[in-house]
Amino acid sequence: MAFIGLRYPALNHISLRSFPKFVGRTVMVKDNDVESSMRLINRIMSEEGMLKRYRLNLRYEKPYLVRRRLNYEKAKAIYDEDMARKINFVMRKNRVDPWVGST
Amino acid sequence: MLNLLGSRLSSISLCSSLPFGLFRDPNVIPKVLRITQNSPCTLSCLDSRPLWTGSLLYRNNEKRENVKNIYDDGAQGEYSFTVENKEKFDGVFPDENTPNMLFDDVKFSDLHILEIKVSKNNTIMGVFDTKGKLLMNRSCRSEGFRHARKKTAIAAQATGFSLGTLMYQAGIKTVRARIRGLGSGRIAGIKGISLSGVNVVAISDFTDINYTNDPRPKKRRRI
Repeated sequence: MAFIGLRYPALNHISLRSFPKFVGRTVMVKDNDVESSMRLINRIMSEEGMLKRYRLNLRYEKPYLVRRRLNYEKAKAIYDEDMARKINFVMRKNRVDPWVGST
Repeated sequence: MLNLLGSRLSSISLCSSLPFGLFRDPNVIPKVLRITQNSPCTLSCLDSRPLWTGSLLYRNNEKRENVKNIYDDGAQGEYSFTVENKEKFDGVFPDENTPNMLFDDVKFSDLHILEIKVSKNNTIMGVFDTKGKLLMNRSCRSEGFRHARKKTAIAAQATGFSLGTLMYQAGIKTVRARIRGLGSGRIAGIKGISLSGVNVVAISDFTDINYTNDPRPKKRRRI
């Protein structure tokens, strides 16, 4: 298949994309409403972590920067977990629902 | 003196006995003041905090979404705070029957492919047939935009509209889209196509995501 502006034409025979074409990462459009379909694709891609990985790999990340980022993410995960536990503990309540019927 | 204290206490008890929702309503408070105006003491226990409604809860999150991306990445809709029903996604995602489904008497797997290559500085679009043969292409430069104006969303929409009219005149009215890259022309480009009358049936994301550093990307810009 021809791709516009392929940087490495010698690698054409190798499939650079290892997902099922037009089945994975695909959204069917209803009534030509492409904007909401695009927003849905963006949401799915970001929730799967694909956009984050794309942005990280736009520029080369040196090993010392990789280590720095991973340590930061580990520390943040620990902090977030403890903070969420504290918030759930502090916010626990046994009140009668004031707005009954509003979910 | 004792009489004054007693009347003050009675007014305080009147405040606390009112129902929760009504007490915070600005229309109710003047009525309460009118009732107790004759008493020789003040309503110092009145609380003037606003009611904490559901709309206020999400206001900050919406504001954050607007300010976050000053640089247009094309990734609108990335952060969504809505909870969707399962019914909303009926027929939205393809399944094993989709390649053989008919759109305008053409099988989905035989439809023409609209490729939109989005980059930081430009948007290039092209129409291919299923075998991969290029039929027609358009870019922001071909629409007359030069230099920094090529990377705008407006340029991408104009490109999409022009390519869409070309396609429609050539007889290609139903098409599936393939989008590569993040940039300002990501949504605007395909919006231009839809404005021209071409029916986009499905949108696929084909962005090159490099999970290993192979080939190694360019080094970081140091400004």
